[in-house]
Amino acid sequence: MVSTNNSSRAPEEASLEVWLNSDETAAGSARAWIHGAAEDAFDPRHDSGADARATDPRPADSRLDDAALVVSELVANAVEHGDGGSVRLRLRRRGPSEVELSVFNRLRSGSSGVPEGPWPMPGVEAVRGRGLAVVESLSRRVGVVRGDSDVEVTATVAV
Amino acid sequence: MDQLPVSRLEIEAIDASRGLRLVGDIDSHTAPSLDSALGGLDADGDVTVDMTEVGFVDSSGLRVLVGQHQRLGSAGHRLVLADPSDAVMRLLDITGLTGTIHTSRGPVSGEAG
Repeated sequence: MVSTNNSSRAPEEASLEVWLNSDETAAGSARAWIHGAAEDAFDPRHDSGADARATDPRPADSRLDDAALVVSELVANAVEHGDGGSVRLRLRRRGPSEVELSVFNRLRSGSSGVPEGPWPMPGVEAVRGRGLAVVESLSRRVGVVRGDSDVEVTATVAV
Repeated sequence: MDQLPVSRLEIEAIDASRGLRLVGDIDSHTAPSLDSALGGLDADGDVTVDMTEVGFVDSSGLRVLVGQHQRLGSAGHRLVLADPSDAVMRLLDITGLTGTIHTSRGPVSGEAG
């Protein structure tokens, strides 16, 4: 980890971010960070989760597990395709029932970072290629913003 | 701010080296060691992996499990995940692998060694 920043604004648009060293430990660090940073956002005692529970009856800690899996996949992908520089993970509340999980990284020369979506789930015989399909499965929306030499992937999940 | 923890996976041979007991997370950091451990087991029968103490698996972990499932399957044997957590079962479910990767409920009784 390089640094962390809490730029809280209105409660429902709170934003937290962390810069992760681009190595094989980054995904595990991202999960640990999300479990700490998002604990409040996914707290079942908050009425803010009522909307999500209407469509997802599983307990809040299961949704937090899903969020941790999403960031783990996105960060691992960023490390694999990145230029070796730090990877930024950002969590932003979007209204009462959604959180955006964004992963930004600079790209290694010649890498596009992520393929164009959609990302269908490979068949059962495939050994590789499930990471981004898992992200899509667990997210309400996934957006990709490409720069000349960087990419940001934002997955929106229910809280 | 304190350093964020990194993922860990403890791997112990059980059942006279016909299975493994795992404690920790299976991700891009730990999956290679699991792949090596599974690849090093004697493939003369089914291989059981005690998943009781595995809290997290991602697509890197699935890559290892599917690869080893196929390797054992080609020899007529099975890879069996014993007592996987709800989170692991959910991952198998969303990836469509529930009917492909064998699972069993209840912890493994195999002795260390």
